[in-house]
Amino acid sequence: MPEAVTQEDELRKTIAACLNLEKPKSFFLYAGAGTGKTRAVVEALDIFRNRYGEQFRQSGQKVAVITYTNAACDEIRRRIDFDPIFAVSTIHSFSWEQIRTYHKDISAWLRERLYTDIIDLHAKQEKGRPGTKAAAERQVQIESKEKRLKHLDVIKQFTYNPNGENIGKNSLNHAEVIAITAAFLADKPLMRQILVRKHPVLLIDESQDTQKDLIDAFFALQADHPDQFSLCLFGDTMQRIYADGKVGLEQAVPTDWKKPAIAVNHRCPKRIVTLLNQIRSEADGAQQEPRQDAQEGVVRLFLINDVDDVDKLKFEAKAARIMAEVTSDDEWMSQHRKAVKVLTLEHHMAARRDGFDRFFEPLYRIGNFRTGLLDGTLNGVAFLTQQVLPLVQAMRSQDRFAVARVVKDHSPIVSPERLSASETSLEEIRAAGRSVESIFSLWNDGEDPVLLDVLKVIDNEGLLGIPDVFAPILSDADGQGEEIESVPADAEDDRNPAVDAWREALSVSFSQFEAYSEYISDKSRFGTHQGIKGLQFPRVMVILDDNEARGFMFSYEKLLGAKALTDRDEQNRLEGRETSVERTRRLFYVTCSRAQQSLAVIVYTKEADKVASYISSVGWFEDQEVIRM
Amino acid sequence: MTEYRMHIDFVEIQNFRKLKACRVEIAHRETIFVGANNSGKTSAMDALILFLKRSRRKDFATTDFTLSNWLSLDQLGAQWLATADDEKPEIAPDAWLPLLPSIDVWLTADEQDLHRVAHLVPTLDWTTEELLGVRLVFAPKNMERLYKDFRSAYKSARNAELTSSAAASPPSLWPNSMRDFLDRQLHSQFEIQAHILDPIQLQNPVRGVARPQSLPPDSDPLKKDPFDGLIKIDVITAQRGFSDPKTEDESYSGFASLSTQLRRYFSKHLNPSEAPDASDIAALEAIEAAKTVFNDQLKTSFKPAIEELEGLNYPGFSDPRISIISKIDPRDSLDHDTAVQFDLPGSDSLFLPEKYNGLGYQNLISMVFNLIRFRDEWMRVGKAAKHQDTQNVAIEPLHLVLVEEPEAHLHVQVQQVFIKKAYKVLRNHDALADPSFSTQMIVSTHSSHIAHELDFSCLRYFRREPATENEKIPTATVVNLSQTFGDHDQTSRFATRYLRTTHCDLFFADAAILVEGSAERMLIPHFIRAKFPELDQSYISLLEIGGAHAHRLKPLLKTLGLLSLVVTDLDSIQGTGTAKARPEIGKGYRTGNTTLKDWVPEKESLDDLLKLSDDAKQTGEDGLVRVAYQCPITVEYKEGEGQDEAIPYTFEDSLALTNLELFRGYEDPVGLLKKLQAALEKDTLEDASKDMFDSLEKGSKAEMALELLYLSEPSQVEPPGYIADGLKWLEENLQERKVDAISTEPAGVNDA
Repeated sequence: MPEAVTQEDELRKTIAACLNLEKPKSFFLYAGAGTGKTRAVVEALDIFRNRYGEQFRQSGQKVAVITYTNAACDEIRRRIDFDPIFAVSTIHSFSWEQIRTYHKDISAWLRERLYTDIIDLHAKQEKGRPGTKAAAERQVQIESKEKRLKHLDVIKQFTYNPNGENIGKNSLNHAEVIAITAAFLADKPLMRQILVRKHPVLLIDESQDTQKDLIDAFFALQADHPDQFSLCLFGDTMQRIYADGKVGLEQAVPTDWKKPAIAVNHRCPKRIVTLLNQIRSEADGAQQEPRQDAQEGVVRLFLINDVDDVDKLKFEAKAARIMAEVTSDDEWMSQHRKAVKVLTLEHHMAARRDGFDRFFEPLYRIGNFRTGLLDGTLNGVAFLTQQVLPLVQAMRSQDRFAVARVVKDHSPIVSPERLSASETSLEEIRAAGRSVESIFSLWNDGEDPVLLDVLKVIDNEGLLGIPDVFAPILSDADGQGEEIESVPADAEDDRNPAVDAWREALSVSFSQFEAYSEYISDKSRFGTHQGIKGLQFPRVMVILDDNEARGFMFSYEKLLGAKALTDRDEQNRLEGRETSVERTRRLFYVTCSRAQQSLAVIVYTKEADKVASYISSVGWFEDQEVIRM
Repeated sequence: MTEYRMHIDFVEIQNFRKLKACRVEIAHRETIFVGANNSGKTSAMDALILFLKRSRRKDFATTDFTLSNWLSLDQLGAQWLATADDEKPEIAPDAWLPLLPSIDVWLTADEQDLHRVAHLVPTLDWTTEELLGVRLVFAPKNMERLYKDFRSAYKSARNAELTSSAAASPPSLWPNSMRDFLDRQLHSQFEIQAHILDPIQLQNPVRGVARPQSLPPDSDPLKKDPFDGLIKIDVITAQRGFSDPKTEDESYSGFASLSTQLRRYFSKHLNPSEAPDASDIAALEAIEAAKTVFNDQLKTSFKPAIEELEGLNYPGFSDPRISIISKIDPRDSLDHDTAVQFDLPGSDSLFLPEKYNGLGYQNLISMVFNLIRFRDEWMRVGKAAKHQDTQNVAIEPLHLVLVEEPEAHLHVQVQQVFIKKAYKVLRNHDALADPSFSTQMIVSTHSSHIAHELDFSCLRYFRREPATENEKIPTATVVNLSQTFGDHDQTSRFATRYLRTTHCDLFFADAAILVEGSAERMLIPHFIRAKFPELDQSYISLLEIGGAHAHRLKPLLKTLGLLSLVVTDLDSIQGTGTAKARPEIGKGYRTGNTTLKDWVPEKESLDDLLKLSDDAKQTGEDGLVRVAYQCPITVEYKEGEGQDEAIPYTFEDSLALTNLELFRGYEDPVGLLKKLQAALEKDTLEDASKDMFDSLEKGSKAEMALELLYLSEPSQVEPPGYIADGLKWLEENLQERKVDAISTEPAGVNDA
């Protein structure tokens, strides 16, 4: 690939010229899907390290590298040998790191913000009709903000965890940390000076999805200190999938910046690159080229009429079979998690297909459970995944050592205190063994026991310490049999939605929980459109289903011509704001660009004919690539 | 080097021993702590070391608290004991904080340093025009725990006493007060906490007393050490030779032999087998080659013995072979007493092992080498850059080196060499041409040779302040001598030159005596020894400076707050003009002595001066300076002829008139003494005085003093009245100030 090589050489030269501390220059590197963006980032860092590593080690300055996920941070850190002259972090950790010691300033900012929010809400409350749900919600908000305002005086130090829930009284939430950082950079000259001294070079990966106020603040910072600061943006505006990224980032890049680009897509086969270019042609028209030695690749579009009782799993299985035929690749038929990646728009769509929706949905409805449910840290879930599941899996594979390990690590029965207090410690250990047996007996004859039953046996045997969240549910079950007792009318207010959600989730079979556990630990075949940034898979099945997705942000029906644009869409388009079509197009672009070999797009639509003719008119798929089912 | 980047401007020490509240300004380069014994300079040094040097914090003791604060702290403890069980205890730290030892460090940082000090910035509205302040306070880790632990310990002790069988004299059990409790529990209960200070509230000291801000009651201590990565602190302690050799703290310098120090330096910075690079290959190859040769040699020489062993045919081994492999570690090659040898100049083959060198020289080398080591550690020279623990840490922008009393075992000349070179050694590195790295060196000393080698602006004089109504115990304040003379004018240049050329030890004295001439300088020490035993035990600095110049030291003495006696002459002159006159009352004579005219008692008329009461001879506002000049002497000039009065003109005739018999009795005196003797043979006192006046115009006074010492036992010589009065005044005043000082110094914390 002679051109590719020279292109990359050219790129290295450009970057090296920009990363010059004596005469720093900023750049926006356009690197589309599969162009090896991470590699470009690492190369840029290497170039810098060779030239200024020693100097930075002496002066204590660091190059800041902002990436999107913790996984991406780890990847980059590993590839630059954990060199301390690079501070690699997510945007949230980075922001917190900048502001974390300025508690007085944060307090002042927050006071101001809460104050104006409250005034705002009061104004709305006066205008709005009383007695509505919105009015009640506003009242709750006003009270909570006033409470927070009062509490502000006693906060000495704010806390924040970039990787989790921030529910403590002294804590800031994710949005606040970003907003404070942006505000300080805009209003406080000292903050700008400190940042420029600390990090004379700032690299932002996936800059298209970095919160817009912050990006604007960085632009202003660069304009303010052009001789001391180099801002290096990496990204692809077409892959912006979060709502708070900066619209029109590429256009906002100042003219004196360098704008290098990598056009070669190393990931996708030729056919898919062509598809990507077509999808993109209506957006910004930027084009990629495949590697010269790339495979041809296969794409298929499956059109399914979205009628009420459509058996989606059956259709999707059939689509996979057809894919296996046309690609001569039997892996399409495999259920192995690495064979085919199925991408859905929402978690609940994956839950339904993967068979854990009845466990997942009740919990997902509870707003503040969501993060914990998705990363496995939710109180209760952690107990099930870290104690119960390993125990069951060990029993299932008859690994007695693994069973013993779980029991030793977690069981109160064999805890050292208890054993040393007991006169018959050997007997205690045997009792633990019998408990394990009786729990496992639930799976006799291929049964799939209900989660709650498993917990009850564990509780009765006292084998593991049951977390408090399950206590009310277990005690209900003990007293009242398995049915939930009829609740007296005046107890209505005492109902706790969180307990109810758990009660519902625990009433399903254990296998649902197992499937969920695999999904959240990325061992499942399923993923969501947004959760796959930067990843790649050999075979990708993209499921487009507006109806099931239940969202309003995205509309494939509109993108694929099944539905006309609404007045509002037209309005937005005329006013230069982005429409749901644009958003959906980018999401579609991101999902399609994950595939390394072959791609199946499943469309559930009310208007299959319209979609077919639209597709044919824009030429995204050839006629023989469209399969109606 | 004109630009100074990050540096410490000053520190304010509070409640640390006798340093109740004092500001110590730190110069950009060298700062020298001077002062009399027990003035607090060692306390200041210790405060810096204990607070800043992390490995030394364990040395904090209850005796480091200002003694008088223990009364209040014990009271707080008593209040806690009186709190009923169901009552809410008063455990806010507010009552404690103003009593605890603390040090405020105020730094200057410019824009280039912002990334280093961002965590010390109080708010984002701070600008680099302002200072950055951090308070380190030795405070209870957890007030609630202290409350509980103290109460339970106290109560169980009292209960135990009650149940004791020895009812008559119950044993006193630990603890009986907060102080007693903390004597044992200090480090489990207390720690050093850091707080950020507000530069807007920064106030200048008033009359030497610092006014540090009080922390807001809700101030939360910082979680991390505020100076981590910011200041590298190294200490050369005074106890060279007594340090614990096992201590791992490299920068806690002991007095190790040069070879030991070189070996340490070698393994940290030079060892070729550690993280080797291209330049180490030759050394490694040489070691490898030596090893091969040596191994071959071993093999050959051990061959017979090994064959014999192998011949044993030990059952069970199929084919036992014994090999001998040597290991050469380059560090071991320096591990012997004679690794360092001194090459005698002029001969190629004569070397002396280092232990044959004098202690003073070893000490100098040892100290200078330590400075080199500190610097190279700081700059990560050689292999140090590759060590895991230093590799990931950026070079600190500020290097603070504390040297305690470098003069120990050093000859005067060597002291001067040391202080002149020390700072240069600390800066002798290529990267240090860059102003982004600063070095500040602080030296405490008792040596005037060290004090005078550097500019006045480096000196910080620790002044003892006697107890007053407000301050019940004596305290100390610190004077920055660079401001003593205001602008650098003639006076300041004179004082500097004078002090340097006379090697005057004014900065270390308890009191000063300024004398008119060499006769006084020779004889006054004898008067003190013979007649003023109390004075004799104090450290008195004697300056020979004529009345025409003595007043030039006025600003300095005032700044130092030093008790001073100025022994001068009447210098009587005619009513008009400058012609000298024999002092007589009622003639309208004046004095030509600038000290008397312009300093104290600020009088020109001779009659006024002669009539002046003793009280009026000291300075009005502070009573620190007293002047002594000739006064009328009443003598029985001829036996049986009754008393007569004379007004002496100088020290010499006063001496003669005071010791009539002695002077008349000398056999074969020479020079001035002979003339005085002759004068004393005159018929009348009047004639004698006249003669003496004439002789004094011509004779050599210094020689007379020598002659006097040659001819008579000094204890036989009576001091003239005006000098005796002056010395008596000095003795009394000094005693007054000293009594306070000694009674309040906690035992065992000698501030020597």
